[in-house]
Amino acid sequence: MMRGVFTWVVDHARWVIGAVGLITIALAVPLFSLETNVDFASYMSAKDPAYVLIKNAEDRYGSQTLLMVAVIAPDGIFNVETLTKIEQLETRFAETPGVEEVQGPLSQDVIASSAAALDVGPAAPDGRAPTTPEAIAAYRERILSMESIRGLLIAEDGSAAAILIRMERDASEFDVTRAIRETMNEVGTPPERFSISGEPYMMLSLTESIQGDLVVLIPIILAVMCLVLFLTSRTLRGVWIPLLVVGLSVVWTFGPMGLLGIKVSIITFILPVLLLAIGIAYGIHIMHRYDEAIALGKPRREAVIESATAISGAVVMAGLTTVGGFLSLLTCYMPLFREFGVIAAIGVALALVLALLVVPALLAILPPPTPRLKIHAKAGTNGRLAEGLGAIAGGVARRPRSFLLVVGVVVVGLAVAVPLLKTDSSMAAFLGQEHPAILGMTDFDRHFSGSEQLMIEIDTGRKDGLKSPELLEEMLDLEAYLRTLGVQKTSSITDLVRELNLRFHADDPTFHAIPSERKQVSQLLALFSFQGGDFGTVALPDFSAGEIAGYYPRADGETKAKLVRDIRAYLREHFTEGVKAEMVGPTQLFDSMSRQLIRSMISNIYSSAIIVYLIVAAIMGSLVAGLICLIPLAFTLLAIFAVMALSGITLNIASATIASITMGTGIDYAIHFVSRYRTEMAVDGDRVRSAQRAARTAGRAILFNAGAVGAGFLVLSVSRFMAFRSFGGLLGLAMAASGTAALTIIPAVLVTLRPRFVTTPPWSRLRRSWESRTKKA
Amino acid sequence: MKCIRNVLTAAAAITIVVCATAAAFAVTGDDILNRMQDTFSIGGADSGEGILLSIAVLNQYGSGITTDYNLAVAAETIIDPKKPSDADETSHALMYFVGGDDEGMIFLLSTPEAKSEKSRMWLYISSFGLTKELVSDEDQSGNFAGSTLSYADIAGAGDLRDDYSATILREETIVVGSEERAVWVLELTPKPGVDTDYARMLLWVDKEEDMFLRLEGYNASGARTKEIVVASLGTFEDRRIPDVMVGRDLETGDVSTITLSGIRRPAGGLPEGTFDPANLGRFDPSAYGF
Repeated sequence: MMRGVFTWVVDHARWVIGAVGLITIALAVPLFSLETNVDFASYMSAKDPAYVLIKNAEDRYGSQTLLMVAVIAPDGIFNVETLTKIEQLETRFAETPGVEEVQGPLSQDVIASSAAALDVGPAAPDGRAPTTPEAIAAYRERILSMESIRGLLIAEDGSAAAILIRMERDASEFDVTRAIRETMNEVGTPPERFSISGEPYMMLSLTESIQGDLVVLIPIILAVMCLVLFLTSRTLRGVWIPLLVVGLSVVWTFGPMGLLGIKVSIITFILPVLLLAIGIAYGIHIMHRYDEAIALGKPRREAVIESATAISGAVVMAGLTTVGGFLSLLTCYMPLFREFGVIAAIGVALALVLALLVVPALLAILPPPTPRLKIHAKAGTNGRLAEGLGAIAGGVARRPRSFLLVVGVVVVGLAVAVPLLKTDSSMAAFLGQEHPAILGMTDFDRHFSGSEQLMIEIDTGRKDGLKSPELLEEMLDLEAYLRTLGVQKTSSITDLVRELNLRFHADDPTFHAIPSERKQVSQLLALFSFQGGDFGTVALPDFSAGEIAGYYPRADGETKAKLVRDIRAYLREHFTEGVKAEMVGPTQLFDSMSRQLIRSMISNIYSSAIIVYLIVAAIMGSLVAGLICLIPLAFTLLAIFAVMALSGITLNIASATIASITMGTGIDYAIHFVSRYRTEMAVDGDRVRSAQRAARTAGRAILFNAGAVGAGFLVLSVSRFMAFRSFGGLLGLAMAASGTAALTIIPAVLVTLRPRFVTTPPWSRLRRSWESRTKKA
Repeated sequence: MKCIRNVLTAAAAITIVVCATAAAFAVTGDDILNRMQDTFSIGGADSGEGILLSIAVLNQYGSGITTDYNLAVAAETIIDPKKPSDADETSHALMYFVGGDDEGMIFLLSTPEAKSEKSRMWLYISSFGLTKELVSDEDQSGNFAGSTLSYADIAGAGDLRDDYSATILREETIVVGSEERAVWVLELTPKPGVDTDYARMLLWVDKEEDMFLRLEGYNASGARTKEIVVASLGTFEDRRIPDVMVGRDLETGDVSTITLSGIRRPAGGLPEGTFDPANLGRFDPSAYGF
């Protein structure tokens, strides 16, 4: 059948190329409308309780998206120069289109009280920077005494100031964030240091990093692939044809995404790099076989048809296992991985189909190359590399049990290390500490109450329930407990009520407390509303529920998990009678995401193993063969996880996909070796010599293939994202490990187990059985 | 409670609209705007008796939450003969919270006619028995963050003449409740250099009563963000007044409905000192039949 297909392709080569070209042009247009989705919360399952909680909270309390600009002054902010810059920033930020509200240490409205009146006005006189030493001293004393501002807009030690910017609901977050950053860079001259943080900046920064990454990664991967292709083909066409095919597959994969409005996620964007690394092999195989046919003197048309037909089985097999590996991500809990799996599988399948269509079509119309591959063919079996590989495989095959014993010891050692593997789904783990967005968070960790936020919703389920003084006291106790867990600042309706009580009673400190009567609480809150106060997230309009916000410095996944556990235990114990108290903010979301990552990774290991096993077993016609081919991959994954655990690389959104990619691509080496071993066994039936010959012939191809794919993955090591840098290194290691394991562990296993499928291929046994039954009948 | 100031400003606005008086025929949009503003008075300056209103407010938030308030309102415009005639009036509105945890709280708003003087607000908190003046640099009639309606939205207390230029788009007839009303449709655009709530406003102004029956506010990108509609009209002392007003914040989905459930003149007028902040604790709504 395949021969018929390739005959048709060769006979209609120009039509095939024309059609592919037209489709490519059509699909290239939507590429320009591709958008990114860098919202980590959206990567969760919409049914996940943590996701449901945060979405419900957003629906009830609204999004509290803030941009935060920090001003860090070496000698403190209380001097004319620094305060003037802060004033300029506050003024210009407020004038920026799309900005709804600016909270700064100068202009922030504060409540001052006297016996007769409550005065609401800016923290600094007229919201302007004080200019005399006396005025600065008075301002310093005033603002540092304000609990609601200290730690939020002014560092406790006066070394830094923060300006919080809230955007209009319909404003373009990216446009406003860019404008704010531009203003900050213009005003923010030394000696002060200025940094920007907050979710909108994180999103912008991620998008810019993705774009910047692609600008760097694509040329590098192209250069690496050009080098690999040139080294393997030594011809220009050997370089551009496979590259063209993979390039087409990238356009065919991402074009429809633009057309369908599917956004590029934080892991999908590296797919062009992965496709280039993985898909390039399909074109290489066809061209290499074609060159061999030409070298044997076949006419061009026949050479193309025969080579494509001969190699198509192996290429399709390699492609299918990779597609299967990616599709195994469909079993993951997180939609992010399922989407990535499907898109990657489609991309690989397209790379495969396009290689089988476009490469023969191009070869059919291009003049044939000068035959010069005999030397390479010879080198494939007799070169130094081949001899070395043969010697290694021979050595292993002669003492298989000893070798497997050593492998067993290594496996035990690796298995001991694996439990040390940590999970971290945070932005910091993904971006790395030196990323500009994380540096901004670090400033808030150092000088303010922290860049991490936890939210706890207290829901009484009845109107005005939050006005109960008893409940407010319980909330105060909870806030005190949070501070024992490392939460540095809390903000809730309790702060508001106490401060209002204090101000209403002319700053008498005995009134910095929750009033004893419900009516008093209610009327103080009414007073706040009169003054134009917005309750924001601290209370719903009917006071049936509200949120406690807690701020703490950046923490790793384990610390957050403990924080979540402790808080939930406290809430279960203390909020029982008709009051529902639960965590709803980003902390519990990222904790859940970390648990989902582990769940997704484990399910992916099983599913990718099963899918790849089934494909291999079907292709090789043996269940045992499928199991043997999985052994090097199991060893590889164990080694990868042990390396991650020992080197402190956390399991994150990128590394959670490593099992599927390793299984899908690494399996080819095992298949290749087992197939060759079976062929060699047919020659003389000697297991050791067959292993040696298989290593000499297939071993070289395995090493080159693993080297090429691994080199492609290693390109990710220059990514701006720390997660991808380690991911690229791990994938490179995975290719090296799976290739090496295929050339060493598999010969030892085959020689030790002596499986029947090696000497008597199962399909032939079935065929013979069928023939004998037919004869008897 | 989030909209408490909104409630009061809306209530004040109803009071204003109730007391509006008809004026001469206008020929331009700005003239109509002037007539709306010129009829702006609280408590009926012409009567000197003051006025009593019962107002119910229902806020329905986009999230599905509802809150409601009932207010007993006493209002009057007092003339100070010592001042020039174009700045001698001060409008007072006293709003007493009826029912719930806020029972007994009183909000007092005094708005002088003279542009040189600021509005003043006091709040009496019954649970503490204390009155405080609420001082703020912000315009007291400004919009409450996130509120559905504001004083300026409903009655133009922010003085639309200062901020906007008006042109007549068309004349038409609209249905209010069960009756048809002839209206001018005005388009308001901000004057240069003025920071306004809306980039564009449309006002449907009743030709007969010089009060708006519908308002639409638009943002800079042309999207309609606010809508206020007079849903039904009543009659008081031969004048048509809005019985029910509905305001919608089209961005948040919040809706406020203000219903005027009672309106009358106090028998014998309001006693002197009713609007003195020092007397707020002594205000007894039952004495006025509330």
